Amino acid sequence: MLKKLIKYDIKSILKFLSIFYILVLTFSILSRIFLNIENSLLFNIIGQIFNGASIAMMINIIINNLMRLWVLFKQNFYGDESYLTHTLPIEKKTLYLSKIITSVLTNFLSIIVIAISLLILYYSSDLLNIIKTTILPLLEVNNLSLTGIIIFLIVLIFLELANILQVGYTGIILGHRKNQNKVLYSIIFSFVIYTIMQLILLLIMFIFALINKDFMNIFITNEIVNIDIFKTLVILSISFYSIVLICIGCINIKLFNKGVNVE
Amino acid sequence: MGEIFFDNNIPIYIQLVDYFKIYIISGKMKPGERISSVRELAIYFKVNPNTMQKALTELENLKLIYTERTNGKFVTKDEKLIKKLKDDYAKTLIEKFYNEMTALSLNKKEIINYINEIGDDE
Amino acid sequence: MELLKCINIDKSYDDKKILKNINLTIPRGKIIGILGKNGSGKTTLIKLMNDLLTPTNGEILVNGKKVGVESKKVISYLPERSYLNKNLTVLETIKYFEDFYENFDTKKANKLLKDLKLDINQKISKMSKGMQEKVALVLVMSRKAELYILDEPLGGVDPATRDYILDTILTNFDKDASVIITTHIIQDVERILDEVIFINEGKIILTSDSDELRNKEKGSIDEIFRRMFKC
Repeated sequence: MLKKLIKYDIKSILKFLSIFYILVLTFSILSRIFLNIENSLLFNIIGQIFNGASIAMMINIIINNLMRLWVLFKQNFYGDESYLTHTLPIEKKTLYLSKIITSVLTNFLSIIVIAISLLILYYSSDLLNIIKTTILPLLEVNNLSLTGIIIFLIVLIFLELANILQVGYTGIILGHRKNQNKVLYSIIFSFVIYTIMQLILLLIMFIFALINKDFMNIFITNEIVNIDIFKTLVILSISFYSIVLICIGCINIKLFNKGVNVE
Repeated sequence: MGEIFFDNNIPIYIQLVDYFKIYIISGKMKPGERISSVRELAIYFKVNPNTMQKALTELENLKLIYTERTNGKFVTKDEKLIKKLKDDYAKTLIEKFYNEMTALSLNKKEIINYINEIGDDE
Repeated sequence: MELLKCINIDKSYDDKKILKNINLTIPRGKIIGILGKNGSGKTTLIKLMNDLLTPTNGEILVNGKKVGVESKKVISYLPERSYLNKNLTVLETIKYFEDFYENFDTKKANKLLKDLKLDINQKISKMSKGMQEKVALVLVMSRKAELYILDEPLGGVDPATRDYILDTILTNFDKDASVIITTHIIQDVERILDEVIFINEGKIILTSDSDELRNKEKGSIDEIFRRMFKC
């Protein structure tokens, strides 16, 4: 059942996103083509315009992906379609998991598409050289690998996105337990929970800093942080986000199991 | 078979019983003729199968139909019974009619004249 | 065992009581009408049976078990609003039902849709409201369920469609299943009802066999209802 649910959820998200995917890739390719034509101011301008359009489209994809997922969640679980969703012979847990997995997969796909169009826009031998001559030696000195950094960063961005998304779901669930102004309450709850989440992260770091002197420098100085502290910071954030993601997921399923009250 | 225009004021099964009764005593349904299944009849008359079942049970109590264990339901072969019911029914109708006509201060002869006039028209 | 049983059901929003101490048993093999004015609590009761609302007090048992995945397998529910995904075509919606309901009969659905001359390749959003209602009814009636719950199936349809809907209900009715129909337009439906339940201001006022009620009160169900609630 979960598989089938995910199939339908992904379909309805990608129905819209796929258009943006095609647009961003087309814009990137066009930008690249026009910018490669030499000695023409006009083509250069057109190329720049497409370049801008691609960047705008990338931001659009991230935002739209989140928005679509929230809208789908609300429509499926609390809108007219909820009459169908909640009368399917499927556990609430499974319904919820389908939404989470759909979020993970579509966000992942969006990130990949964005990465590809960035490559189309900016990949060149010069860029490779810069990386080879300046960044790589710097990393080597500090005993880091480029792929490692990229993976960690992607994981971090990804977890952050997933958390924003799931906090939105919590907001929608809590907001719809109210009898009035459900949408307004959903938004307020999401913001409050997100803020609390970030404050807790800050607090944890501060407590950590009280124990670790080097770490305290983040809070009290403007010096460029050294690599070890940066590493700790990233690992700390990743663990925190993962724990929060699982905890809120469990809370959401608990809330959901208590039963919905559909308008 | 025709259509029944149900009157919501009277229990539906009673209307079905009356309808079948007239159908049988008028000879539109022959003695020994097989009756369709409850389901088919219910769909035909657009009534609830349970109501149809109730009507057939009532008809069976009146001995107008009988059940053969494997073959289904049939109109009674007891022509005497049919004849008697027909007489009874005709008598009830005519009594009702006669009472209404006498209420108009018409005597029997005048009433018969009216009846003959109707006959002439046809 | 009873098909469905409501035990001491209360439902309130904030301080407002919508349903008060509802006790109800739905047997097998009957067509049952839940009759009440708009806002009497009919739809709330139906939504509780379908797990769309949770009762404030009391519980609802289907085949002896609390409403949940098992009850949803055997209840086929037609809400009073359009609830299908409008971005899908009729064909895709059929596939959806086939995917999620083991007891969905695709052949039957296709046959009924053909009878109605509906184009299965059309998007639901492109259909008129009446057509959408017909599609929903066909889907609901094409499941081999134990209990069909139809919430206001005749609301705002033309007489021809009304007849078709009643016909479809009768044709598909079988002795092991039951049908619950809610309505405030009693006249059109009363002919096919075995039992009636009158509901007013969140309370059950009367439960009776419909022919017995006609006999006892000398009149149509519609009339008796109007007399009782003066409408």
